[in-house]
Amino acid sequence: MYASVSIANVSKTFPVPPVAAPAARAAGAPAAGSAPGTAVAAGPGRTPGNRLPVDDVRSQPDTLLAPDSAGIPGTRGPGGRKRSVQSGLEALRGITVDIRPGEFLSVLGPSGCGKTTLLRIVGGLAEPTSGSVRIGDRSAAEAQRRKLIGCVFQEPALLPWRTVLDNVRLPLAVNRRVQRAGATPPAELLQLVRLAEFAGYYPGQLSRGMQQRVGLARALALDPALLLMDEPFASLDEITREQMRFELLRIWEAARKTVLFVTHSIVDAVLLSDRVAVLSARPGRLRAVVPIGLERPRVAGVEHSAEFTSAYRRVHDLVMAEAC
Amino acid sequence: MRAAWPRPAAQRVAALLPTAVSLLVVGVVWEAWIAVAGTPVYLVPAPSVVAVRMSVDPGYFLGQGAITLAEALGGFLLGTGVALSAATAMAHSLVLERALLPLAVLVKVTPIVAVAPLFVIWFGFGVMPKVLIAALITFFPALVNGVTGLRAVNPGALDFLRSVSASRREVFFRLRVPSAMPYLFAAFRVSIPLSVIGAVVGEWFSADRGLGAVIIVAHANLDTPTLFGAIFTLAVMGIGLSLAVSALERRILFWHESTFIV
Repeated sequence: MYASVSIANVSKTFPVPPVAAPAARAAGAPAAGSAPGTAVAAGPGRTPGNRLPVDDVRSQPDTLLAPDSAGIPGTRGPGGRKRSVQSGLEALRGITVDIRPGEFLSVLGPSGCGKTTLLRIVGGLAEPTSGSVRIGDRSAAEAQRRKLIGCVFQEPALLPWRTVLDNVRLPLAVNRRVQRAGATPPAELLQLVRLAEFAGYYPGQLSRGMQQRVGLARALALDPALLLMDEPFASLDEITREQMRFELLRIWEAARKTVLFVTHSIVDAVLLSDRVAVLSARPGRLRAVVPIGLERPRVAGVEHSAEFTSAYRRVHDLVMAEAC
Repeated sequence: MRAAWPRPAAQRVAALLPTAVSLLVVGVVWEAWIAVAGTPVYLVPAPSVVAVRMSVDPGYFLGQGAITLAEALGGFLLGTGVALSAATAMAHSLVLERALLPLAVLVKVTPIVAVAPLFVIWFGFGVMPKVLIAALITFFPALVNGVTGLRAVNPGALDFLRSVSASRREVFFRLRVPSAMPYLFAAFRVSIPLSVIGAVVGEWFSADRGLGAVIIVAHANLDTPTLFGAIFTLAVMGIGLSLAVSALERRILFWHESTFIV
């Protein structure tokens, strides 16, 4: 499934009712797949900085939001009351990216650059202050209602009172009015993540890496069109992490989902992805989208190849240039 | 989890041994003290005298105890039920919490013995005032822990349920209620013995039945063996109720960290 993410601006906490209606509308109704008119917030003394060096990401920093709808600290809202700095914390700015069907796209950036916020918006768990997300021809909230999105979080967040199998069944048990035909049965998903013999165990009896694999099986239970992964390996030790990367690659080869993978690990991003979107520090802006030409299927050992090293170096230099 | 660490019966008996020994020592010292000091029975009866009194008429203590137990349990169920309904509303609405919590605190800080006579005036001499007093005394722990527990959900699990478009109702029953269980059992451990106190206090003021009434009558007659018999029955009742809560907790909270600590 095709996913198009266009986020003009995200101010954390309470956005002010949009005053700049024309700009908000322009960003709010893009055709699926086309590059929407991306509104770029322009704060006082800032130039719209969103030109992207690499293909496929089109940005049109020509529509400007009025400053008072952009949640900039210290500006006056419609009520004339001065908003606190807190309410105007800007998390994301001017991000436009299209994810192709079956593509593995990583979003790479330093901590606190709004990666998780971005993912929550795509998953329909949060609203952008302005901008839009289209998944296929639906909005994020609609896609979520139709159970088209699977989420894996940094913490496995399994329900400890349910067995492993019942945890994987949970998405099917919830909201039965919406059914997903053709989804893989939970028991088979456990086979896919190599945990079939642990079906009757409780999460507390499993290692961290195993719990995370259960989380992955749970996210796949609805046969989602789009799989969102939020630093799923961040809480794992280095050895488990490395195993999990190839495990995920194997599962992805088998399931062929469209994946949006958020990480702060350059190795994760380069090893797993078709393309890597590099975000800058807060407010998170899209700096570049780097295609990774490594051949698939990628198996253990690929991280020692010259192709990997050169791709790694390119991404690394971009990230580090941003970090300084 | 239970299956992972079965506890052999022999080990259980061994675990109870220190308790049995300490109880035995207390009984023997008590008995010896009375014999040596020659304390009159109306002041403190020897354990053997209490045992004789109870064994002569076990049906009396059991029957009166059953009445008190029924009042205590009725009050516990009523108080906890009302508290959990209120907690559900309060956990979902900050406005309701701000409106209701001060009232609950008011109820809590008012000494129950001060209100008990009023309940007799309002609800007469039957079972009703005792159940209500027991309900009142068990209300607060369940309410406070209920509100905290229903909010103490794993944010990741909440996000996941939302991401698969679970309704508020589903989030409540599949996530909030199980998450609240450790908190609720912590409340029940406190409130189950309290419910017995509530029932006895209620009986002091008006009853002609129940262990509270037995205590009042025995006290008036300086019949300390009967008084001690009633106290002993109440103690056994409290221990039994607490053990029942613990057993239920181990069954329901088998997944929780607290049950791993043996």
